[in-house]
Amino acid sequence: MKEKKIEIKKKLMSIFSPRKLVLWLSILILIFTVPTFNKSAMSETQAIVTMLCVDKVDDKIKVATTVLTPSQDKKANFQVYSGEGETLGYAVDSISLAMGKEMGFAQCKIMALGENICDEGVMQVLDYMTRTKKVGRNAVLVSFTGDVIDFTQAVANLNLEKSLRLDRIVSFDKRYILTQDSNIETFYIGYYSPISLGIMSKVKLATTEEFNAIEVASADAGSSSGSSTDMNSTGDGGENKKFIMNDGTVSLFKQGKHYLDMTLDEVKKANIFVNDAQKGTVVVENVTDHIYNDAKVVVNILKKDIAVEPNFKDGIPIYKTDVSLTVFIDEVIEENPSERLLRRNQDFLTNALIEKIKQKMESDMREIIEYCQDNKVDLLGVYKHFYALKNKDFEKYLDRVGEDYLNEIDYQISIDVKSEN
Amino acid sequence: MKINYRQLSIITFMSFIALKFLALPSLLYIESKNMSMFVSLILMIIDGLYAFVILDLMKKSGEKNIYEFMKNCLGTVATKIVLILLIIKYALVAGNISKGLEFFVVENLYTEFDWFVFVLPLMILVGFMVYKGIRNIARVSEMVCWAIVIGLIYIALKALSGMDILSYLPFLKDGFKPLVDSAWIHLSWFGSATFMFMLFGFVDFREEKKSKMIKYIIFAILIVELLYFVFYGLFEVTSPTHNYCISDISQFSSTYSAIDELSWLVVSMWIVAQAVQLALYSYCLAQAIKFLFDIKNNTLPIIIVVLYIFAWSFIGENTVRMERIFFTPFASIVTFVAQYILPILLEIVYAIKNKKKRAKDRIERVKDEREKNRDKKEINVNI
Repeated sequence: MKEKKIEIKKKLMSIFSPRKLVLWLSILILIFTVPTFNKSAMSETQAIVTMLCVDKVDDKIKVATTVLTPSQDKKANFQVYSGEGETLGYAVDSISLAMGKEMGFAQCKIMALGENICDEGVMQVLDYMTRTKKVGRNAVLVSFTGDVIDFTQAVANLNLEKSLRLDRIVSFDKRYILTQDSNIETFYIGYYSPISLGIMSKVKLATTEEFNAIEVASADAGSSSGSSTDMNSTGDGGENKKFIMNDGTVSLFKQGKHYLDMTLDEVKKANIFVNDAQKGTVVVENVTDHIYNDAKVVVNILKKDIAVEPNFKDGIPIYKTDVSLTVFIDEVIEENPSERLLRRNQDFLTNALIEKIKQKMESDMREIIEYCQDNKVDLLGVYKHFYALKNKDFEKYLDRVGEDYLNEIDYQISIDVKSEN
Repeated sequence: MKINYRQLSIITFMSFIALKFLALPSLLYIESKNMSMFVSLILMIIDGLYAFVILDLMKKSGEKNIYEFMKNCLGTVATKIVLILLIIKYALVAGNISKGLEFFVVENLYTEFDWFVFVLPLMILVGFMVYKGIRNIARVSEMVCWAIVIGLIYIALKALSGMDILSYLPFLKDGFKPLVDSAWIHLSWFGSATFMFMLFGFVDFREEKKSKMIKYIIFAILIVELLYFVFYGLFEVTSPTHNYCISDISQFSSTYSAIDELSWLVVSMWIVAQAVQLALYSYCLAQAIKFLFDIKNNTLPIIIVVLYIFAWSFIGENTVRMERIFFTPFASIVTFVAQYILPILLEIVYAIKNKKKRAKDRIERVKDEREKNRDKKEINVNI
């Protein structure tokens, strides 16, 4: 009996010996992998979506996508597909149904949201697209004006005609306007912060030529479910000219809903408070001294250091901002430029000019503080600074004043201007 | 076949960073919020200290393996119970690594990827590495270690500029309680030194340099904390929604530069390191099964372990979140006993046994001397 047991054990061991183990596993691999050879290519079953535009028209969600079709020649082949439905899911599915392909959103680099959906609230759209459809959270997020299909076609044409990409145009805003990425992740961080403030770039679709607008051809297309337009060839027949315009307008969202738009000028003023916004210009007028004669001087900001010190004195919050600027004189506009301007070895950053720069900066900063107070929008990070650095006092203060916490703060500003030399 | 002290230090380093860069940082944030990196810091320091306690035991065991050593200290029954406990611990860690890797590759890295295309080669790799033994695992760890270190530092530094330091303030706003709660709930992700138990008798201490082990452990802690510091600074309140820390940090802000593609290279290297860690814990699991059931052959334990990893592919596939399986009080208790109680218990029992043995030896020595003296006296009297 015992011998028999040992024999069985030996047999078992010989079946599962390390060498045979590899063989068994190889057989397993073959069993699992061979059937996959029969599967069709992924490009035949999945559409590569590179941009998604969503809006709401007459209680229906309208969706338009640009789909990249791989082709043997190196020319990019974008096609615009659109669909509509009661919900976003239905709208996306209607495109799938029309195409006979699953929509693959992993390569979706842009999510554009129309005005109506922005007013109604964008969080459901973002949640559905990131959680269910797996759009990457680093996808560029923009709000747009105009028809959803027209806008999508215009963006596709922008790429084909001008070799410009909307995601890169908007990403450029980070350096000069937004000081942060306009993407889904940063929008989420803003939304889930205590002040629930989201920011995204706004791109406009215009039908008439405007300043800063880029002209693109936009083919007419119906908006029925699953309709498509091939954007590979852009002939003249049946096309309207459209203009895409990124003029620096920024949309602000509160609780995920569109709250207000800021102009480029307002954004630039707000950026004085932001350390990451290093670039900027200051224009001062009526500068008169031993160098300038009633001159208009354009000063470039080379470097900016912001030191924020929140404090409480007798229960009153004080928000002290020290701005230190290193500047460089860019343009001097005088009616009759004097020869003094041509002299070398002199400091063009005169005391009079410094004073003017300080006055201008302070007035801009005060203006934006007022703007924030009027609109109840904390663009300066006041909440964050007080919460982080003066937590207990600030919580007491918040209990007292609630949402209007920006109004009772004493804003102290000090500006220091240095020459690059 | 033994490994040297340097190789042990590298394996320890890899074990310390093994489970840290996927779901753990996001889970820690749920309880301990902006103080989460301090939870991991404290637990990793404790792990580091316990690594030296286990090392001390390893040295005391000499050529004995863990089974022989524990049997000597605790007796057969207690040893078997401890082995069951260690099997659970290793099984949890191996399962966690394999499931984490599977989720990461199948769900995050690719849009459509059949799980078995990943799991089957992984099974073969793990089976082969466990079969080849600890020396093989150590050598592969040596090969990938520095590439991983450089890659992780690169990912952290690249994302550093996007983080907001203010998100770490106010410091300890709700006191220590959330930190303690978080540490207890997520304890099963730590206990990184428990693998050392299965290396008793397999380490050559001739070139022992404690400073080397200290350096590697400190280095592991610093790298994990650097990544966590960046992670929480970048994602702030959305941290709990980022289950793939390593790829999410690298993809936070794509700048369309060629250097961005390097991030994926780092992630790929990190996957290799995870596979090696899976092999290490599978090796420990196979060893523990071998000791528990007194199996002479290596084959059967390896088959059990490989099938166990395969079984994990079916558990909670794409639906049940990993934390539901791992973050039970049971898993925390297992880790607590295996990592924190067991080494101290073994040290105490060993010291008591040694003391008794020394006392017994002394008594016998005194007896011998007395007998010798008596014999001498008798001889003298006879003379």
